[in-house]
Amino acid sequence: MAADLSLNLPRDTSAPGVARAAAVQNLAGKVGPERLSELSLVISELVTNALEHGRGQVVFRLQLDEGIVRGEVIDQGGGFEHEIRARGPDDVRGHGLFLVAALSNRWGIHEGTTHVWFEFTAGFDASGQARPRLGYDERREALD
Amino acid sequence: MSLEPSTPPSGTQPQVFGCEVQPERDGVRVLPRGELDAASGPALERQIGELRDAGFRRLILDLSQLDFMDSTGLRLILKWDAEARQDGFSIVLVPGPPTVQRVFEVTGTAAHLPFV
Repeated sequence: MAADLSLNLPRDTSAPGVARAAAVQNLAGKVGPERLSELSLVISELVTNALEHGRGQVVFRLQLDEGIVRGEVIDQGGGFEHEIRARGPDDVRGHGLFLVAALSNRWGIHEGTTHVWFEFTAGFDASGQARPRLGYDERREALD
Repeated sequence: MSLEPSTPPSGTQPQVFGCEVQPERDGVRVLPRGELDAASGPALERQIGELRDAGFRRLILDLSQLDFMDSTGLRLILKWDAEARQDGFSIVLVPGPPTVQRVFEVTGTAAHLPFV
């Protein structure tokens, strides 16, 4: 397993920074620096949303597998996921969720839960185009 | 994703946020340092509020010392920009590093904000 992280986040404003720092520590050298900074932003927005609109314990999970970073931000409900579900992930309001939609490859909510998930291909930008500087071959080598 | 959740290890604490204020000839330069997010946004908002209350009419918000900014920072900057357009004070922005500018670019706000 290349990377695997599961954290109980403090339910205060330090949580986004704690989640970002843990992700960077876990993925540095395995995901290109630009993609890692975009990933930090997505994590920050989702954790901030869970704090602002959700309730209960916030759990953050991250996994890197075959060049794809998968993440989840889980709270105990009552939050923004209801809005997202009502409108669909393509109709996001507010800059935070707009950034999540623009920078992740895919994202959504697991059916029947309050688990928001996202996927990032480690070596590609948001448009799906390969970046010459962050070649896929290079990334695969780094994973092994 | 089978691991049981753990509490964060001490090595993953976020960086400390700081904010420098430098009076200049015709205004005041505000230099937030570190990470601008939900944890540090209120401190920056307080700082800018105090400077405006103290009578400074020209603010230079210099983002060059930030390592990270999320939509918390963007929202504050858009709010100050909107207030400046109505309220007779002025704000100019010094761009941050690429990771900070990316937030403005992706949201299509860069072109509408008073970057120098």
